[in-house]
Amino acid sequence: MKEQSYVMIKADGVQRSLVGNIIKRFEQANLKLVGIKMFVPDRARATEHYGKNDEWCIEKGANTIKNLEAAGKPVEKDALGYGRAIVDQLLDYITAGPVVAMVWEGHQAVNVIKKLVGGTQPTTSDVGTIRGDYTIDSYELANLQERAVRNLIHCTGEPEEAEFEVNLWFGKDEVMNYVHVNDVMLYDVNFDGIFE
Amino acid sequence: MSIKPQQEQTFVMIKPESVRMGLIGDIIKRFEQRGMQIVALEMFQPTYEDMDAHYPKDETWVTRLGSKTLSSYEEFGFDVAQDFGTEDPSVIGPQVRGWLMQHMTSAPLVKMIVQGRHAVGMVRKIVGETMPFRADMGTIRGDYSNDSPAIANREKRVLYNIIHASEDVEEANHEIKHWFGKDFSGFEYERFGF
Repeated sequence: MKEQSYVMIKADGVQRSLVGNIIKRFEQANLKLVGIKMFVPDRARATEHYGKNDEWCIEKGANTIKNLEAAGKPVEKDALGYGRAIVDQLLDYITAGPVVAMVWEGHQAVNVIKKLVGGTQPTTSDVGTIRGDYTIDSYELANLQERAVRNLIHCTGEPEEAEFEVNLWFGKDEVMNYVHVNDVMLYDVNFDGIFE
Repeated sequence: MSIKPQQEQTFVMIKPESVRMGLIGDIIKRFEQRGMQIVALEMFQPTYEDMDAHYPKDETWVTRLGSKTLSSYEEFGFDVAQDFGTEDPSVIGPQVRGWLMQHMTSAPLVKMIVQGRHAVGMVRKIVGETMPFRADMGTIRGDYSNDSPAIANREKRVLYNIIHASEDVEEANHEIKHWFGKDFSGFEYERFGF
């Protein structure tokens, strides 16, 4: 029942000094921090992290072309070219400065964290979520400036992806094993020790 | 990396009790909102050797630990001889240091370098007095702990005071080198705003 999720406070979150506030939100939701480190991601590993293949690029690039045509703007690249440009923008964003990478653990950690982080596009993320409370970037503005949406934070999208992302960024000895107050609250069936 | 002349760096370590209670975010937040930046951050499990090298071993320092226990027992009217079998601080000191080693290796810690104007003094101020029962409200220790050496030692453990922060610039430099290595002094990045 215990699940892990990989979370990364990206350069904008670090520069705006939101590290403590973001960690606090996860802690107060009963999640357990089992790994954290600050570093500047290298491009090769970031590429692996996103793992976008040509098929993905073509699909996204085709979308871009469709939007350009609808807006009556010139199309200068093929779908693959536009798709790869999107990946480059993601990589520029994630490697722009030091990030804070974390491994969080808890019951349905992936979905709980997605809920706390909020929708991908900050303008439409719910109030009360990290993105909804701290940023107002949009796809529209990002596309206009040919950059990735600056949404403060990355979190694992699906439970199946967590293991890959955790192992990609964290060594085995960087993920801790210890007893946290929430282990007792959630996993101690008998609630032993309350009356000592 | 070289930091701006008006900036200072200090070493901070979030202790096991705070990691277990989930106070990491709140602690970091307090430094950030006072205008300082976190330029290095890592959770790690220290070995006994790491800890043994972090805390002084000389007799003066260890005896001072014992003296703190003595004066705290006196303040609260507890019988030190009953708990320790002695009133000699140089005998009590090593026992307290032993509990300290045991506690500091009992769960992971979060270590960091905090950088900003007057970082060393400012962090000390935000952290509050060493003895939580005396720390002011609004400080980290004042808000999260009411422990004293007497209560702690009667429970055969070390004082839980939430966090460690370097006392002066010299100690900060020494501790940053000890915990992050000689060649690392944090990540340089622009902090938006004042």
